[in-house]
Amino acid sequence: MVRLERLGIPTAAVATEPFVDEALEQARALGMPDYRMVFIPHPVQLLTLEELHAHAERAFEEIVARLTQPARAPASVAAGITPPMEPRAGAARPRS
Amino acid sequence: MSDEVVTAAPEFELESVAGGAMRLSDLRSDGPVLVLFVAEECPTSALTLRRLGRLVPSLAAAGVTVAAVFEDPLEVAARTARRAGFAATLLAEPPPYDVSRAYELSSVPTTVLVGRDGNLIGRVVGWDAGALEELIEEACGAPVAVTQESPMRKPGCAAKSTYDAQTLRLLDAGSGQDELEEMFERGWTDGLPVIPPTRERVEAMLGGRDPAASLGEVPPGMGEATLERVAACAVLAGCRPDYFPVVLAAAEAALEPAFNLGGQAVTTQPVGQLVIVNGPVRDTIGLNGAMGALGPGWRANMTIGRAVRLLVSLTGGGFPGRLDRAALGQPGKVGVCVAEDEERSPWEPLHVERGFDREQSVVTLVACDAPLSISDHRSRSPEELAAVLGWAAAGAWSTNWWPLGTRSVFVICPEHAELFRKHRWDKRRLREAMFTAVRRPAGELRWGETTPHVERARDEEPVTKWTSPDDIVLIVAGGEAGRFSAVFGPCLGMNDEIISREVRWTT
Amino acid sequence: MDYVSPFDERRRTPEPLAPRPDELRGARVALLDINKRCGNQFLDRVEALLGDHGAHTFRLVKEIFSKPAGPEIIRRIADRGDLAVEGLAD
Repeated sequence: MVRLERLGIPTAAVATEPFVDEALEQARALGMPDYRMVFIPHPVQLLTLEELHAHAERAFEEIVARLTQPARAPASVAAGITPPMEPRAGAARPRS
Repeated sequence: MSDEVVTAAPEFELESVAGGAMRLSDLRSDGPVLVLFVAEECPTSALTLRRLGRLVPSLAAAGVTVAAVFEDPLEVAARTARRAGFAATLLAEPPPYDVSRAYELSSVPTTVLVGRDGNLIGRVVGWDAGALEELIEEACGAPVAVTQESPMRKPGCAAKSTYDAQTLRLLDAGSGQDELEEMFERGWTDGLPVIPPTRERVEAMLGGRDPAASLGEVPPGMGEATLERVAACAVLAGCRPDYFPVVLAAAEAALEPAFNLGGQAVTTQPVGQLVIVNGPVRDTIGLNGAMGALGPGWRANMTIGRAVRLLVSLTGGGFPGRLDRAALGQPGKVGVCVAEDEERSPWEPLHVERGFDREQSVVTLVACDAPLSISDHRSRSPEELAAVLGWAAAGAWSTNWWPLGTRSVFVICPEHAELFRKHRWDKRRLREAMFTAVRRPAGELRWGETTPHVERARDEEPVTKWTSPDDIVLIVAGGEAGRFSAVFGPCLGMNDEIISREVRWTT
Repeated sequence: MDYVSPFDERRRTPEPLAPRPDELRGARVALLDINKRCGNQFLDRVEALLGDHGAHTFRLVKEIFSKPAGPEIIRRIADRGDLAVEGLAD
């Protein structure tokens, strides 16, 4: 939650693991490249209450770490999105 | 394994996927570290990540840390590692790849073993199961089987640190001359060829409009839609300059907050943005609403829809597989734009329904999944045909998540529309008939995922597909012969509105 | 060849994260449910654990999962909270 961070509210946002790459790219695009989410295994929709609670327990240490560790100095980064790069064809990249 | 004079491994500090910067000295603080230099676009790197990924737990148990250094952005490292089943420390190295250079890489993958004391113990270039087995045994102090699956050896790809202007010229001699390949290499496409947006072409597309004027930020990446960038997307898509006013109107509609483009751009649903065009502009630009209207063959149809999608996926960063998480997607995400056949329609056209004058040119955007064809060659009564049309949509999204909670867009072909005209059914009557026809008892819907409505209802209570007849949107298009209508799949949970914008000839 | 890029390539100054406190004890933690299924159950357990660690908690729910939280929710969190936990995105 970039808006909350800007307002001085440390935030730990939780998502499932397939979204790690999206979270990194989105954070960079929104100008907070150091922002990290907390991830739990996927899927969650079919879990029992006990299983969900177990995920929460396992993730809790990381949630606390996101909320209380010192924030890092920001890295330098370009705004917006890097274009998706096509694999380069050519002699240097032999494929079998 | 190469015979090397004992040398110190160059120190590095790189951003990690897990968060924070990681130094080599951190990685080797508890024991040796195996550093895999890899690149996403290198298949041998992927192979190495897959094969060594399986060994990470046993290596950890033996006190060996594993880290992968990607010559790619962090999110690419995360995605590639996940796909390869490689779960260890993931680091990203930015251009100009000084770390790769410091390690004197010629190619990726290169696997380097660094001792706890910081000394380089050995390296393996490329995928070489035998050599890696030796290296890992050196690290663990005991044999660890790598694999017996072929290939046992495979060369890698040039490390990005080796790219310099001269190398590129020698190795990629073709791509400097081939403009169209250049577009693919830059990632400025949707997988199909695009028209390179030269200054000349973009200026022609702009037609004198202010290039710096802005339509606002495009979610999800919030790239700004200056008219120049919208024009670049229109050029890329293959639009003619006379399509540009329609593209602009469509872009404005898409960026209207009530459309919730941001939600659509990142969902796992296969949603695209359907562009419906009404009014005189259809003929002016040759937009098809007759035979083949939903398929290929007409430049205006193909390219206007595509320009909107390129605005979202390029300028907005909503690129499939990256910020766009559509699990499967669908062909309409290339773009879909259709003219309503107002002349063959017995009813008032969509834009007039929505409050515009017939003579105004209007684009209407709807969040939609792929269309499903509806065949009916036999119905003789409007009641029958209404039921056929409605029931065709019964499975849209789900056969039991009823009511849908959002709209369905039906494209009624002229022959079907003619039956309703003969019996003097207006749109309102048709909507109500379709709405009423498609219902099932709640008891029959209680399986899989059910709506709160179904959960609360008694078994015998009829539940309708739609919440109200207003959720049924009707336009007319298609050839004059052939009784095939269509219904577009819905997009749920966006709280989105249909947005219409007038096409203005000047900005 | 000089092309007009469709990408917004402005170099934006990256913003720092909010400064973190040393510990949870005594902090007011907002738990924001993004309103996808199972989120509330997940947050229930997180809330209980936060309480065990001496934090004070309060709950909010986003109006709709597919849109950013409205300004009123953000304001409420900023006014009443020191920290926030948000979930569960799948």
